[in-house]
Amino acid sequence: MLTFALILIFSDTIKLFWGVENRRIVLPIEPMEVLGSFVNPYFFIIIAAGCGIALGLWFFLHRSRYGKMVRAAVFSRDMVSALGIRIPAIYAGVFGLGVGLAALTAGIFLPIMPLSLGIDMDLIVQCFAVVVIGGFGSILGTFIASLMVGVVYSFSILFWPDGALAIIFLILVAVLIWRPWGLFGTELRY
Amino acid sequence: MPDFGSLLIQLFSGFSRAMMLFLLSSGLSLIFGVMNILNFAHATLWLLAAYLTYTFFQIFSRLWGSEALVLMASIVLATGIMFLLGVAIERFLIRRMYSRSCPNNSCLLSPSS
Repeated sequence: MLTFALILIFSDTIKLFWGVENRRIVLPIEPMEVLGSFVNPYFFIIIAAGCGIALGLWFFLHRSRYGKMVRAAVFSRDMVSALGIRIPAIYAGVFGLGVGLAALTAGIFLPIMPLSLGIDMDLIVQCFAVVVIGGFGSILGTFIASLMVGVVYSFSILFWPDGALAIIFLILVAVLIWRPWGLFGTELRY
Repeated sequence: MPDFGSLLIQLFSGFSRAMMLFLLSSGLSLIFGVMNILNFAHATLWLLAAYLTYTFFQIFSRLWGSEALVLMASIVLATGIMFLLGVAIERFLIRRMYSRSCPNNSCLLSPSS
């Protein structure tokens, strides 16, 4: 509930500092490229950067010392604190990591995305759908689920704009009926 | 049936949206996995970061011209600031909630608790 309050706090902070008008998109110089038809080459940069960040996250979680501590804390909080690793530092670090990751994606997507005030609400609903479909705590599940949700949403905007979110929720309900812990989640995390 | 060009564009925009959802959801999933906190404000903080990056880009591009390097510098700066903000939020706001009793691991603050 606290984080719900944070939504309201930060939304109003944005409104306070930046006003309610939509911000024009940032324009780094990127000419159009012909690939059968005109495609903004920035999309390739986005996909490459996204994969790069995903790989970096995977390396951090699986190969570095701090990442292993984080994964151990996911698995069993009490054992980690029993081993003498300070849990509050890990909590703060992981929260900061999550927020920093969000900030990184915001920056990467800035050139193709006009900013306005309501887009975070639409996005977080789809994020919850992705996390539930993919299973909490599983990066691979999040990847597969985000591919599904992203492509389905984008295509149904083309064919049936009003029902785009409805289709996502239908998939969500189907997955929840079939496997309540998400496609890749472990049974512990319900 | 729309032509191949628009299908291709939709596919690319779908992939880029999927990338954004993936990165955002990874953060959300990580936070929930480690701390059992559902961070509702994740996308709002994302939006704050976007506005921050936009502002930095405006400032820096007035100094150095608008190029990809300036964008990267403003992204790095905004990410650093948001990381510190996230740590601060956890330390000062969320940490106080741990001591309260959380029935069934879902920390919804009810007036009676």
